[in-house]
Parts: sequence; C-alpha cells; structure tokens
Amino acid sequence: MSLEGIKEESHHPILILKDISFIITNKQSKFEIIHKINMEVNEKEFIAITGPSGCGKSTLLRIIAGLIKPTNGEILLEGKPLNGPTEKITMVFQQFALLPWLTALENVELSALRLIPDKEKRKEKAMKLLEIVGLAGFEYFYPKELSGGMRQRVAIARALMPDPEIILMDEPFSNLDQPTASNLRYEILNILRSSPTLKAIIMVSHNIEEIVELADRVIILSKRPAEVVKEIYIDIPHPRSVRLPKFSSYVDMIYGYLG
Amino acid sequence: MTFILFSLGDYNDIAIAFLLLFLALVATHMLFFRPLNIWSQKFKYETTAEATAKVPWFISSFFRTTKPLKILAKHVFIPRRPLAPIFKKQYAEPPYTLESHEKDKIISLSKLIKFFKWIITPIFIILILLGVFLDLKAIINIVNYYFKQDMLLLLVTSAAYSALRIAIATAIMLPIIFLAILAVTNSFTKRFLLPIFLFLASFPAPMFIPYMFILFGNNVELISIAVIISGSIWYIFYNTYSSLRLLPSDLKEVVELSKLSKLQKFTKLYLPAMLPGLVTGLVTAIGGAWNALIVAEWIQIGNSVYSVNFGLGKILDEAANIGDLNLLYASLLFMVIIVVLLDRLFWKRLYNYVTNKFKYET
Repeated sequence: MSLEGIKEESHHPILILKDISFIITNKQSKFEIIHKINMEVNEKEFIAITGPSGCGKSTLLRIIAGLIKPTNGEILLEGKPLNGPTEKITMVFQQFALLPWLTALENVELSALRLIPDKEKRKEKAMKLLEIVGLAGFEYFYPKELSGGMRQRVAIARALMPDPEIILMDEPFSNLDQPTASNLRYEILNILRSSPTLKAIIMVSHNIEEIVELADRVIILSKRPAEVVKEIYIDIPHPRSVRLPKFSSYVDMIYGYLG
Repeated sequence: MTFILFSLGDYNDIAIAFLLLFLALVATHMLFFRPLNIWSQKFKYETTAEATAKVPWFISSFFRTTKPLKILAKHVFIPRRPLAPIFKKQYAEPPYTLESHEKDKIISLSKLIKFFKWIITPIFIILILLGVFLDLKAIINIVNYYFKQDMLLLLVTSAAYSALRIAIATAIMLPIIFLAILAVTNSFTKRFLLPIFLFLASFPAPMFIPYMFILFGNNVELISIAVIISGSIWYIFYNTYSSLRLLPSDLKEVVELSKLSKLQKFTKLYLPAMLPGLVTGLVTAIGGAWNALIVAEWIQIGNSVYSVNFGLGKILDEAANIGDLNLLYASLLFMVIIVVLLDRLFWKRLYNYVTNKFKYET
C-alpha cells in the first residue's frame, strides 16, 4: 500500500481533532497557545504540520499524544475520545529521548514493558525491530556510544515496539547532519510503511523541503495563537526528486503561506 | 543563642527563637532565594518546553538586565558540565603524538602522582594540622595513649556503635527520595512540601532536641538517631531533588507514553536519574552525621547530662568537658581517619562510577 494520492480514495478519518484550544493561565495573564484547531487524519496518510517558530506545533503534537490536556475540544481516535497516552499513539522526539543508562535493546523494550509482560517475547521483538532499523549488532550499546543517526533509529524502533496506529514525530531529523538526515528519511518512510498496524504519521517540521519530500498533506499553522492557515495536498509520486519543477513550486507555495 | 537557651532548659524562649528564625527565613527566601531560583532555571539544559511555563518574578528581570550578573552567570554557572574533581585538572589534547618511551614516563609519573594524591597527601595534611596545633610530644603522647590504656579497644567499640547509629539513621531517612520524586512530578506537592522543608531544614539540629525528649521520653539512643536524621536528611532530599530537576522533560514524556507502572517509572527513570544526586547527598549527609554525633550522643539540658553508652561523639564531648586534651586529640584523630578512609575507599569510587554511568549526554 502506498501513502500517496489518498485524498481521492475513500475517507477513513482515524483521528479527528475537534475545536482543540490550549490556554496557559497564570496569576497575571492568560496565553492562548492554540485556537480552535480542527483536523482530520485519514488512513495511510503522512501529515506534516508546520508554522512559525514558537507557534505551538510541538504543543499540538503533545496534545494528540495525550501528554497535555487541551483546554477545550476533544480528540477522537477511531471514533473513541482520547484521554491521556495510549499505546496506539507513539512518538519520536527531536532529541531522541533515549534513557542514557539503558542499552539500545532496553530502550526499545521500554515502550512495551507493560504491553508484553513476557520477557523473552519482548526481547525477541525488540531485537527484530532493531534489525529492521539497521542496528543489528548494536543491541547492547549505550546511547552515548551511538551516533546521532543511530540514536534516532533506536528511537524509531522504540516507537514501533507497541505496534502503534499513529506515530508522531517532533522534528525528527532536525538534530542530524544533512547526509544522515536525508539517508534516514526515505529509509524511515519505508520502515514505517512496512508496519502492519501503522495507519498514519504526523510530523512536525520546520524544513519545507523535507515536508514536500515526505508528506501527503501539510497543515500550515499561524503565529500564536496557532490556527490552521492552509492545508495543502502534495500530489507528487514517490520517490520525489528535488529537481522536479513541481517540487519547488510546492516549496514556494508553502513558504508563501508561512509569510 | 538558641543553644544557650536550650542548655538552660527554657522551652518558651526556644519557641520565640523558632519564630524569629522563621521570620528571617521567610524574608531571605522571598527577597533573595526565590528570585535567584527562578532565574537559575534559565540554565536548565532543556530542549522542549515543559507544559507548565513559569513566569519569572519581578526581580528576575533585574538579574537579566544587570550586566555584572550576566557576566557572573556566563562564567560561573556553566550548565551541562559536571563539576570536575578537585584534584583533577583538565588539560587540552597534546598537539603531537607521544613516543612510547615518553608515554611510559608519563604513566609512571601519573602513578606517582596518584600515590601522592591518595596516601601521602591525607597523611601530610593530618600531620601538618597536628604539628600546628600540638607539638611532637603531644603526638607521641597520643600514640602512647592508644596502646597503653586499652584506648584502642574503646575507640573501636565506640566507632562501631556510632557507625551503627549512622547506618540506622540513613536507612530511616532514605525514603525521603520518594518525596523528591513527588516534588518534581506533582506540582501540588511541590508547592506545599518545598516551603515546609525549607523551613525545617533551616533550623540547626540541636533546636529540635527538647522536642525529641517530649517525643521519645528519655531514650537517648532513639534521640541520638533522631538528631542525626534531623541534621542530615535535607542533604539527601535537596541533592536528589536538584538532580531530578535536571531531568530532561522528554524522558518523562517517554515513560508517560510507554504507560509504565509507578514501580517501572521508578526503576527505569527516576532512580537512575537521581543516583548522582543521591550519592552526593549520602556523602554529605553521612559526612555531616559524623560531626552531628557530638550533638547527638551526649546531650546536656540544664545541669543534667543524657548520654549513650558507647559512641565517638560521646567520648569527644566528655573529653572536652573534663579537659582531657590527650583523649580529645586521640578520638578526634580516630574519627578523621575513619572519615577519610570511608571517603577514599568507598564514596569517591561510587561517586565516579555513578556520575559516569548516569549522566545525560547529547
């Protein structure tokens, strides 16, 4: 199954955001971070969220993850309201977020400690996932002994461990150097596509080229408080080459909306 | 002041002293430590903003705009870099590669330096200190003292009793680490617990002694352990708390997303994350406990003395009280040797291991 050209096919919104607002209240003042965001995520869709720095993209991602409770609005995962974190939604972080005192294998196992109580089964699955992300032989290395790209691979294996339906990625490539990042991008796209349970990917990114390269649809947010400015479907077949005239016109279009 | 009052056994005046100290504490906290604390948050190593953003207090803007403080901040508070061990100097990489015989030389030299650092230096320091305060004759007296009068046996027994008391006190105060976790995970706990602890921690341990007599009757053993705890527990709490505060928030988010049980969160995240602080706290707490023995094992209220049967602190107090200088020096030296040996053989190794393995790296 391919991720592209989904919009023409039947709509299966697996994740719905209804009027999501987020307000921080202090003694002195109120900050509205997110203002009434409505969003639908369809099956087999790769969605990118972008916007000016500090607009609340990461906060929105954490609201979807269930880490932050929205002030107003609700999130429906397959029709059911979402309250707090669930194994069906996992996350890949900008700074990898690996526990430094655990080996690569233990870090991957971490996200299924509860889901798979059987030690042997859990280890077996984690080993397999590490092999899929290209880290066979590095199971017993500590994060500090791995390069940035390898650490992010461990984090991706960890995110796949509970067989999630949605993976959230918070600027997953921004902390890597250019060659590592571009190598990892397509590899990850393929790894994630091969997952039997995964239904959608939501990525927050500042890198417009990266978005046009990967996403089926991009959601552009405004300055604080964040609102949806524009949704753009990116209709280019994979693999997408930067040299295509269509590619750069999409890039220019998105930059135009970012202002 | 309080100690004098307390020797007189006047409970009302102690209460007044408590009140005055409390007022002074609140004032320094509000006008100095709170702004400083909020300001110091700026140096936290963090890449993702935490869900609860803090709005700085008015004085923090003063810190931000004052140039000398900026310079101070830049050069003094360097986050991310662990404190270098005192004796270890960091040298830059040599610009050339060393020949093997040069390397051998350097290795043997470093062994020599190590030898000096570990064995010779402490001994020299002790000798010099003794030489300054006493004379050689006194040292000979002390050595004689150890062997002539079965003193060594008494000191060893006393030290064993004291060590046992400290061990029991440590075991009792260790669960405070759970409150340190609550203080970083639960903002309600943080808001109420921290001011109370700040208040309690600011009082010198002896101030609590009269109230301990009310609590434990005349059981000096219990009181001495309680005094050790009341003086040392804060080191453990504040060190673990501050190392937990440095925990990057995305790691907390990972364990939330993984839906770990409370026990799993503790063993996988919070315990390893607090270990460097816990070891520092234990080193300080137990080091302080050896000093606190003087207050804890031999207590004078009014004209009556309450004392444990065996204890290094008790011997020190009695020696000071009757003016037996030889006994005082002998027991003091004994205590110094125990503390130095513990530090060199145990704590330093543990500290190095823990800070190496359990630090965050980017």
